[in-house]
Amino acid sequence: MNYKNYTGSGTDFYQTTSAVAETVNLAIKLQRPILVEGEPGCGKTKLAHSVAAELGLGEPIELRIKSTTQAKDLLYRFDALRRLQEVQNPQFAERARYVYPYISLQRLGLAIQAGKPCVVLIDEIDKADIDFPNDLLDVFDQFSFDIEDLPQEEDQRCRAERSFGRMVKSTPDLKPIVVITSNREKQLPEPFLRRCIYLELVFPKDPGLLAAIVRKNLDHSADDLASDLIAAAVERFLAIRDQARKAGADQKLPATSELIDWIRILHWRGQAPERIRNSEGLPPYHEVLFKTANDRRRFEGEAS
Amino acid sequence: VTGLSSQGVLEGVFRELIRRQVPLGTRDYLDSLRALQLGFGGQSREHLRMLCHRLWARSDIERRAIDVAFALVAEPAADDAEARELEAALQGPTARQRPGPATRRTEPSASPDHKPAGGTPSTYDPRAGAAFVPAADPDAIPLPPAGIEPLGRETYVLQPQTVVSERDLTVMWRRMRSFTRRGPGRELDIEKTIRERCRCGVLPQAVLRPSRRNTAGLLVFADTSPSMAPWRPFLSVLADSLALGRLRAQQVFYFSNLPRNWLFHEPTLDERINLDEIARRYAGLPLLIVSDGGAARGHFSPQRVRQTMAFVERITGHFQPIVWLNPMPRPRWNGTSAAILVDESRISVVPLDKEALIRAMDLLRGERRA
Repeated sequence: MNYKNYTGSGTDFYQTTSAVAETVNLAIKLQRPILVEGEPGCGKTKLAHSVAAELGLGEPIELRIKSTTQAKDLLYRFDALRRLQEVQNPQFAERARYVYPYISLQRLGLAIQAGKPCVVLIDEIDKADIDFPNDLLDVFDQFSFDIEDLPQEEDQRCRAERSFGRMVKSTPDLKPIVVITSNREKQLPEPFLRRCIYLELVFPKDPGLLAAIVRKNLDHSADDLASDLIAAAVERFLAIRDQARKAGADQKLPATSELIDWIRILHWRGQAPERIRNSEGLPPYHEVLFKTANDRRRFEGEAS
Repeated sequence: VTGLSSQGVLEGVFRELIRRQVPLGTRDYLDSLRALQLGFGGQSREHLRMLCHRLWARSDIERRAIDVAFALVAEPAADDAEARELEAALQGPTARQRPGPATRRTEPSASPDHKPAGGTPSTYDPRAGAAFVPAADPDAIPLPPAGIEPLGRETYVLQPQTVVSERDLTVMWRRMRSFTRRGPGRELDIEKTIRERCRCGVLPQAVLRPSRRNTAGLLVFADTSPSMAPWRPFLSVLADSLALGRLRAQQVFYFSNLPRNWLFHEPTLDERINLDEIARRYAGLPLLIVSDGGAARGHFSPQRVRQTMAFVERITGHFQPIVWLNPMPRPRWNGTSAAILVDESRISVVPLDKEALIRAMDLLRGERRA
């Protein structure tokens, strides 16, 4: 059995270039994790959803990372406190002699145990502590992990009752597709980078592709959105991005998600395409496009 | 597609990259062969180049190295026209005075009505300018715009490259660990509590234990004199990374040229503090001194030797161990006070590179000198 080919245009909510799709396919075929980087709002997380949807793998298993997350937290949890509580209760005291009833597999652990084709999304890995990516390396290499808290002598018993042992391993026909996103807040360790297939999502410069992305992202209520409005907005938007970059308003350049919000407002306010294209000075409702006051001021200075 | 087979090109490019010290392994090469078998990159040379990028490049520098290696292996006949153009441009740079896109940021300072450079440095990472732009100086002159535009496939990497990255330094500090359980019991000792419950039949009281804490610390004395200007970016990375190192105590003090009675909290030599006060407050901590020790100026000064020795003598009792990190290349130490320091004093002197830093870390952790 094999994963199907990913085209990048097979879903109704995501559209990407064939180059990106090719990289994704390469990673899937070589069974390597995909590390996706790119500016905020350019669709890193959505890429994982689109891969899952297009290949018919259901929802991706999404692991959100916090600064305190440890690799172990994604795999299993040992509830020592509950064990302590139950050891004092005669009703549970027998059970509390063992560790295994208090071990529960977490989402990534469950995915490895199940060994079914799926997409695992590790979102914003750069938020975690610097040791985190290295701890995950082996897990992704072998798709197996060791439950260190489970005593060796309970291995058999746990296997019989909970259907996993100290070593959780699956021999899947297909390894899960692992998509990791990063915002470049922290430098990632070299061995980790080497293991992944690196994919940088750049903001599309092609108006046609951008318009297709916009169309896929607008809700159905916006079906009646005239295509010349979208075309005009996309055209102006690319110019705005250029102007903003020139003015140094690049703390957070407007990206796809801002563009979609902007087009929604333009549509809602009934702006005519010609006005969007030709308005002198500042474009209408440009406030939606900038996330910091500093960026907005700089852009306004450049545009007017 | 003529000449070498795709596999031959891959092998050639891979060998060339290894020669250029791109950190690739056998596995990367085998993966590329497998990708080729699976039908990736076989369509054309361009597809093959993209495959190399996808598999092997992790940064702009590596992408560029791949392009160069690829040009060497796959298209050995050099583009003569381009070479001629480059030569012409180098001979007469004034003929093509158009600033390239990479220099756009420096343009505002060239326009006459603009405030001279004063407003722009905030957009620079102070580490970017390395030796040209002193880190702390807001009135520093930015790098001049390049006279010629990059030609053809030529590309430039304009990201700042520090000697050792903040991440690597942080990892090193974190290796300075000595965990001990000290102080009052704060953490529940589950094993002991359960054992106590089994022993007594009832649980009179939960058993607590002190939490594990890192007791390692580090003190840094850093030289910010003009002779250390090239390493100011390194010093600022060092100070930043130290805060992430999870040490019990860490502090950087600055001095100019030679440490004497007073040291300073800031690299700008503000907020001074007496050496005795530091010795009292941080007694017993390992000490790292970062200074060129007179090697940058390159001449021998007996007075400097005397003063340095006196300082080393004075602090030896207070801090243990002491490591002197000299960022000047080792051959430049000869004939200066830095060389005397290596021969005569009891402290360890190491140069600035990754291996030496690891060695320094071992020494600071209390390992004996080799």
